[in-house]
Amino acid sequence: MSNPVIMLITATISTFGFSIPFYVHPRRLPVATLGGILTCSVYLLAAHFLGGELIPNMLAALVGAGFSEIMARVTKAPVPVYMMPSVITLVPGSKLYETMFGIVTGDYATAATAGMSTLEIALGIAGGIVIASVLGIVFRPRSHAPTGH
Amino acid sequence: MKIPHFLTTPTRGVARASAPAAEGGTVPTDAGSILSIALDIGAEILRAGGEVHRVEDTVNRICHAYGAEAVDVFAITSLITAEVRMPDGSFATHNRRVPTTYNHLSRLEALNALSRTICKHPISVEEVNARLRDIREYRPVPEWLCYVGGMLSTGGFAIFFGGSLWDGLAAAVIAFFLTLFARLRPLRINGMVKSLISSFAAGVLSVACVRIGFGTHVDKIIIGTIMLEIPGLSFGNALRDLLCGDTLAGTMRLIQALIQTLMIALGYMAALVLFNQQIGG
Repeated sequence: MSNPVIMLITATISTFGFSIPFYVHPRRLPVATLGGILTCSVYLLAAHFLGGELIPNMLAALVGAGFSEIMARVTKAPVPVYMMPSVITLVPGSKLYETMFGIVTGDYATAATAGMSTLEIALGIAGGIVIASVLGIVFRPRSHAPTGH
Repeated sequence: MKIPHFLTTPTRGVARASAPAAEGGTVPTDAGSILSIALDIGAEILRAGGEVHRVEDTVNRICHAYGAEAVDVFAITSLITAEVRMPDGSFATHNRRVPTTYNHLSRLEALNALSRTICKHPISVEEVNARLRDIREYRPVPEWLCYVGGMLSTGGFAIFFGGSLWDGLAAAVIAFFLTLFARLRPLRINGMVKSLISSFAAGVLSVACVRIGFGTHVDKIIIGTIMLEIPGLSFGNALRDLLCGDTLAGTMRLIQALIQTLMIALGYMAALVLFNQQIGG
């Protein structure tokens, strides 16, 4: 793993840049970028102290998605506005590449390992989002509850 | 109340959004107009990249805000179908097909705000249409900033995953062309095919950049561009839909996102195979 300081800086730039083609409103960009920084920091800390892939990704996604749920309520914006920038840095692009490269070069051992890692990370992220979203649904304010059911 | 609605109401589906225009900006009270407004907003939310449960919830709330007695709405990722019944027994059933979606989170936010406004204080059909027109033409940032954003994120990710500064710059240049390709409006091709072509091009361009000495690590450049292509928002929305009980819509979106990821992987793998054979020969 490369230098955590460089990773945090580039994660900030990437999250900020990534939000623009999705037309996150300029007014929401600071909070959205903050979500990305938060998620990346939690991931780096958890990866350093706990190791592995599943738990750090799950924790980071949980914090990022939880942050999105909270900020969406505070700023009265839809959750996806913050959710997408917050968890983008966790997407296992690098493992996906290793899997593809392994398959193409006939190195199936590497491909299998990287493929399992990709799945593990994806499951971790999904788990984190699931927990945060369930909490978000449980603690939905009364005024937001659908009427007439 | 025991008489079936279709016997008592000849107005089914007749009143479109244009009908009350003659009355001049009055708040609609007939089932058709109300449902039409609600579905216009719902379809626009779906189109802007909103979750299915949000669409159902919005249609439900808007109809109730206009005084509907009962609302039955069902939505999947490409269709909304709804029936609304008024206290006087009249009712209307409309469908909206939403063939294409794009991700526009500012519009999603504006639509959400419009829905909140209506729920607090119902407004006339003309005003809803005017606001929807504004939202459809809403451009919060100039177009060229999207290119800058794509370039920043791709370059950033190339360095994030361990690339050098030159790798980041190369990835940013490739991101410019990918954004250009993604934004070609007249190019009406299947989204899956578009992903395939786009990722193949990204792979070839990454190799080409390193060949001419612009950037050193092909893998880091490619990883940077992968991050731009992966349908992250779809995965997130699919999970949120599944959790809110919209199993069908969530599954559809999840499978769609998975197939798209598969297409992206195929595109890159095709580029890598090409590249490997060149090295071998």
